[in-house]
Amino acid sequence: MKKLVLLLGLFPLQLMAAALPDNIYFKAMKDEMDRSFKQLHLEKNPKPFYIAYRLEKTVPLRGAEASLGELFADHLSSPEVTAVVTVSVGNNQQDSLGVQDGNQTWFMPQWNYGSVADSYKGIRQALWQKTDKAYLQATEMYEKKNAYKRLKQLDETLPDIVPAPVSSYVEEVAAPIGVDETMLKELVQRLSAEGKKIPYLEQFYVSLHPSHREIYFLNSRGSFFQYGQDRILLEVRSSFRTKRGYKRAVSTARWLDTKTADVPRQAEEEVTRILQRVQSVYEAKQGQAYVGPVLLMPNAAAYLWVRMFAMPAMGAKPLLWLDGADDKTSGQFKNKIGMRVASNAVSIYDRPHLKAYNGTFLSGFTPVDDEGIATEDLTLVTGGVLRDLPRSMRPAKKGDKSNGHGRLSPSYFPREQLTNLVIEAVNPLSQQELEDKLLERCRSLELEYCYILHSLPTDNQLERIYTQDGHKEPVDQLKFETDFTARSLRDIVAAGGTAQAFSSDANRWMGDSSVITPALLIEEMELVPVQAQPDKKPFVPMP
Amino acid sequence: MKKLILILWVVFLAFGSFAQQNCSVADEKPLQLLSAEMKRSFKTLKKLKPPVYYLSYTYKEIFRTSLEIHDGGIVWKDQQTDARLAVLARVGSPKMDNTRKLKKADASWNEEYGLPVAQMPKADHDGLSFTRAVWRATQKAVEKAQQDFSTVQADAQTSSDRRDTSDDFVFPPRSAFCHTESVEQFDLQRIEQLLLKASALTQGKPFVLDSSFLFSMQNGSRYFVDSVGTQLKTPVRFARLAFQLAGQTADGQSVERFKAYDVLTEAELPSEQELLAAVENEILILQQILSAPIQEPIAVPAILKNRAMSVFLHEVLGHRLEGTALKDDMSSETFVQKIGQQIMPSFLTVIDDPSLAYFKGHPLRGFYEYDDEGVKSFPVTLVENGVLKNFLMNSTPLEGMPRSNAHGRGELSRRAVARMGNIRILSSQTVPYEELEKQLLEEVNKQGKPYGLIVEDLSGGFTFSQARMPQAFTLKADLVYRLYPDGHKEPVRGAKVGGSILEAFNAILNAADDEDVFNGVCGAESGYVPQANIAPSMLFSGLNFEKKEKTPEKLPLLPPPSAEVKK
Repeated sequence: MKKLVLLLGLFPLQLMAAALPDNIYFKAMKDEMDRSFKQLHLEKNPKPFYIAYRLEKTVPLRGAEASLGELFADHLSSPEVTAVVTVSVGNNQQDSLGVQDGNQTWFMPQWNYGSVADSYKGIRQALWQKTDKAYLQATEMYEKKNAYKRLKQLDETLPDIVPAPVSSYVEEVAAPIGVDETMLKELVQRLSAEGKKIPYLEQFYVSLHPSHREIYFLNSRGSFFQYGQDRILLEVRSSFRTKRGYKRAVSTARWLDTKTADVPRQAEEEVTRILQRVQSVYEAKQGQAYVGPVLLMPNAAAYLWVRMFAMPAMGAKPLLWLDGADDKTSGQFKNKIGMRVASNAVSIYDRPHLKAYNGTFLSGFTPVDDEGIATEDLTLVTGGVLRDLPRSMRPAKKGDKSNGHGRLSPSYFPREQLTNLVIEAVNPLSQQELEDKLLERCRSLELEYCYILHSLPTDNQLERIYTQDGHKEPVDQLKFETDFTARSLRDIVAAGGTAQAFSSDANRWMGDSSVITPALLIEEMELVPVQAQPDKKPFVPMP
Repeated sequence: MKKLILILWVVFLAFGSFAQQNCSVADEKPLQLLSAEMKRSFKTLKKLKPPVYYLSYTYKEIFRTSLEIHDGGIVWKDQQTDARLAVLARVGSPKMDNTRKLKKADASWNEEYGLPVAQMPKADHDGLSFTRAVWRATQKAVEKAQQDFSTVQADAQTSSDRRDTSDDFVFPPRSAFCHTESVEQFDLQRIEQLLLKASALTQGKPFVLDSSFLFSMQNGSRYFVDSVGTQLKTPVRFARLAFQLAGQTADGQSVERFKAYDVLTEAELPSEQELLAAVENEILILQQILSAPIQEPIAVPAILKNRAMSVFLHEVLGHRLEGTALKDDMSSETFVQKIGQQIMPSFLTVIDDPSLAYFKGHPLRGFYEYDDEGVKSFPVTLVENGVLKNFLMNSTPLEGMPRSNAHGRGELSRRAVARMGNIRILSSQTVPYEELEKQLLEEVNKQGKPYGLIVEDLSGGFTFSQARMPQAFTLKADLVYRLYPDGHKEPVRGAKVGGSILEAFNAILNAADDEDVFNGVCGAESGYVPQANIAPSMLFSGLNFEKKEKTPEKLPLLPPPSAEVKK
């Protein structure tokens, strides 16, 4: 059951209380928030102006893992609750956020990992401790921010916050979707035993770990949301030595969507794919320096999008650094609206409401952002031109309004970030057409061969494709001369019609996010050989 | 005096645990798979240049349970079987091998003592997956050992002469031993309810800023094989129920209370009534300490009560008798040349007996049948009648101490070094505790001091053992009372006990007849190892008390929500 409530205007917390879901999480958040607003006050300092609580409960479920046909022992943990507290003082014109100290401690939300009891009292206790700390931190930063503005005679007319309609999203949080444990055990045992068929494989590990998570949010502007997610982490890991004596590991980790994935089929496909890659890498020849077109398969393309699009699109509103430095955490796209940032072979969107894609769980799903604003679908790039960027309630220029992309991450208060980045080909090509196009360009450049890149960045897996007859040959020991550059996006010549999704959990800099991308043909990239010597041969033959 | 020691040993033996073999190494599949792979590998590895001259596998299969409760709810509950293998490869020769401490390096403990550890699949079916994992871990260990050996060779050629020129290794004797314990069942639901009830006692107490109630249990086996031919299977088991409370004063002094019950069976756990009374008592103590006056720095006569004295013994003396550290040229060598010399009053004797499983009904965490290098445990007299006799030794010899005395200990992922097991200080002259307090007042009056101090609890601290640092120790005194000449007591807060190593034990004047056990987990270069300390309360002619550090953190502006609810 799903209920989307869009409330126009700003409602005091008290008015919203009746609509809050009836559970210990909201009760604890509301009670502590009410108490803090009424009583939390450090003499001669402003009272709290804004408080937001976000709780994330993760419930690990029994999974299975095996190597070369043998199971590992069981492991079962209890649910774990994480609490994140944001407190701000001041007002819409000037508050205590959007600022960094410079050389001193990084100013970030108060997180409580791993010591929150999953009970009303436990959550109250955790919120109390963190709210207190966050308030003291906020009053200190507010004073510093004011002092800095006076010192620098900054007289900004732009407010810190532009109010926006608050929003709520309530999805009934159902019990975790269990996955048949016996089926998982049999599956990983059978699939990992496939590794025995490849004589040089030293290890072949397959695991499936289901988990369930619940997210609860409440802020003092009256926004709230709750929803649950069920997913399964599929991991396949292999290790071996190549024919030329290099130690290699070919691995994958994918989040599957419990509700929509066909787990056995997807696990089997992934195992088959990894075993094929293993055989390919085993035979790989030494790569040579290369400048020319490359075909990035979806896995490699996802890395390009994260590095060269998602990160530059982040932080449209620069933070005010009190040591006078430029904000290096603010993405390069902030001044590029209306400019050409990518090739017109692709269109780029952000679709926060997608939950899954072809059985892959999308961790970027965000119905309402961490400022309590309903997320909007964004058309980011069409015709190669940057049309829009993720925006929070903190305007970067006059007229800016939030589009629901103020998102928390371990290091940042809500900041402008993407959710599910979706890349679509304008003229989608099949894999065969992409390879034909690649060969066509290589021939025009009189190259003997071109490259297809399967995976980036740690375990570069490449194939040469020869212009003469189109045959392929695995290659090893090549790396980018200078990683990707901003130019790489403009060098996209064509894109495939079949996309794949990749999800990541929140890291230090970014919140949960996903990328859905097809394969990409890039006009030019420079690859250079890796200077490495073969690894020592095993002292004792493998048993 | 020798007679006294003999009597004490009889008492020890009466309480000791002499487990019998109750299984056969030939029937243990992990041992058989490990031995077979060891045999197959070692044949080749010993011919390498430089050769692997010794190889050992330690495999632990342990079922762990942990439970943590805060504020009326579960924070963490985990059940897992941990199956991991560690491989130790010694490359070179016993004279000089890859494990030698470098003179010109300042590596972290993990870099210096870390061992490759592999997560292991079950040793079922054809055992191929298990054996393959052993082979991979061995390859990794030997690669690293060979690399380390080259570094050791280079370091030896370009560094100053070593003070102690004894070998780097002495082969442990070959042993075969198999002991299995049935898995001890604990009623986790009952324990969970008990801890929830105990946790509820902190509610409504605004001065209890944080609290946690914990239960953890390990039950399983350790398998050990080496290239000498040793095959061992020994049980790994213990359980701990503990709680901790934290508060803070307005001037930034943090105060913690901690109490633990170390047991082997559920029957040894405290009853509900006992536990709840203990929590109530600690809450009361916390409140008293928070409102107590600050102890200003002072040197006065003092009593370290039995638990505090156990910690003192461990930190101030025990660590300095660990042989591996004494071999390090950079160490302070406090006791290196003092074998045969008087280092404390003649009424004191110190022993370490890891073969002892219980003491006065308390399970000892430092109990083991074989150490982590496969050497059978036995009691070692370290100090006899005040005279230093021995160091704690593992398989790294010292000049004049060529053999291990079964104190090679380390956590799975670290190479074992000499560590304490069950260390105990005994006194041939004792008085009832009340008498010791009277003697404290006599000493106070004799020295013209305003009061004496009684330290009930000492906790974490540190003792410098590097030559470049001052040879001093400092330990947090968690619970201290002043004893005034008129006999009244007053709690004080914010004190640390500090002083010089050589003077500390010579300041002991007398001991009480109230030996008690302090079980703990000790962290050092070879990782965390469980360990026990036994001591009676002791009277010191003088101890230095220093001020404990404070935190800049302000006290919370609002009381805890639990206190609010009760208003």
